Amino acid sequence: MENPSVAQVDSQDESVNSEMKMGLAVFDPIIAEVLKEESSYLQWCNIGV
Amino acid sequence: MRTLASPRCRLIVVKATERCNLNCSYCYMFNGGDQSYMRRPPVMSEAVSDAMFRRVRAHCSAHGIDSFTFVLHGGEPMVAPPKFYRRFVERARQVLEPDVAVRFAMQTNGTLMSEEWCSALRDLDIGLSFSIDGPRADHDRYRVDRRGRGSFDRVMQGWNLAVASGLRPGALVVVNLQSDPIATYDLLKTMQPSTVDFLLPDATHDKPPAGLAPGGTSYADWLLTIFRCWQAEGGGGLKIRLFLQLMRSLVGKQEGYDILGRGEIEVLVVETDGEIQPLDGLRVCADGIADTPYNVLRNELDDAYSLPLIRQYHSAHHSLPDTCTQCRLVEVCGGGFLAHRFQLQNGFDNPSVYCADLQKLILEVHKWLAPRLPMPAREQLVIKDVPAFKPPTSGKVAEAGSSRSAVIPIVPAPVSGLHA
Repeated sequence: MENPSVAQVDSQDESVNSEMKMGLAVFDPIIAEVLKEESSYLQWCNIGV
Repeated sequence: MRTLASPRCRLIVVKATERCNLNCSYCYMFNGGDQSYMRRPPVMSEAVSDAMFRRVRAHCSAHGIDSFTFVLHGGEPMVAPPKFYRRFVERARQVLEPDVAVRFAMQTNGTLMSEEWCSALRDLDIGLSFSIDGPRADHDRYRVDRRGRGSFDRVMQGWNLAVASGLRPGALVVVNLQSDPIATYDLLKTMQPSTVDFLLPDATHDKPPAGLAPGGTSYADWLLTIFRCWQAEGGGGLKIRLFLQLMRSLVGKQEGYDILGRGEIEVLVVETDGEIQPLDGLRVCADGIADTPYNVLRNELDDAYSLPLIRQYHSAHHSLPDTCTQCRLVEVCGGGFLAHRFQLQNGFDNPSVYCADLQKLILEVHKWLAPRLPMPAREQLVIKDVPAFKPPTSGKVAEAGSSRSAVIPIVPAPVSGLHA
């Protein structure tokens, strides 16, 4: 199934690598999370940071 | 540059209590193979916590660490009262700040949540995560109290109280093949936790996972059902850690996550009596396997890294059996969770008991991810030209691939004397 939901990546979001932004400006929010420079998680325990 | 030869710790799982008000049937701590909790104090003393903070300070200074996390755990951490944590947090900050930024998190069953707890968690800036295994019938199958009564309603009451007070907890879900993955996903969407993680049930080759045939992929299939819904909805407002970290591993990000990937695992456990241990989830392997002679009352954290099992846990994604190092998926899987490799016969020198599941999960997620990546990121994929998953023909699994990674030697893991 194709993903019907796409989101505009926030160009001000410094956590997304600028190199990635140059590659494609519009993509899935899941992809944006994957490409963030820093992990959103503690090393252990499921608590976002 | 740091190497695996100089391990360090940046997070301690604090066994603030060794008691729990629930009696979950799958609990590694109370209903697994290990009974060591019975000889420890029910709650960590001030002398132990103060010693721990001093050891952490020395460790941070020696290793140039400028931020450190304490995960408050148990047992059920809320068995100790809020005032215990008010002192705990205050003392930690006194000892460590400003040189080291300190962060706190708590993993709870949520049944003891109260207005007083909400205030304390907010005041102390303690992040929160609830354990919840799906809708009522599924959750209550295993997560019961000492009278055998399900805990779902009490968990949801605690959840709603936390959310109403302005907290936004995460959710931790143990995969249960008897449950409906879609119903679990739908429940999580309505709860909107800050993050979600799915854990594969504790298992070893001696105690295989429920419902998993040798070489089978029932757990991957369950997770992929959720993955397909989740990706189709653009994430559904949920950050599902297992999927996101898997994808981050696919694009070469090496982060500390003991379920998969190739990052170092910079985590130790400190018990209520001060004993320093590797992750207590390893207790599922055998009684006493995680015990060590080291204690924050007498030893520095670095002393504990002289123990083979603690070093092996730290480098679990690099200390791998040959079958894993020869697998083309090793850069993403990292051999999976260490305990899942265990067998009494030969210690950890095995692929994961979930090997086939991990392979299928990785390949299916890769298939979805690769064409959606912008070109610069696509070039960073650590696995290219991945074939479709084919079920293994035998039980103990590992895919023979063409590449062999540079890995450090496997730490010997004999059946006994693991920490000699």
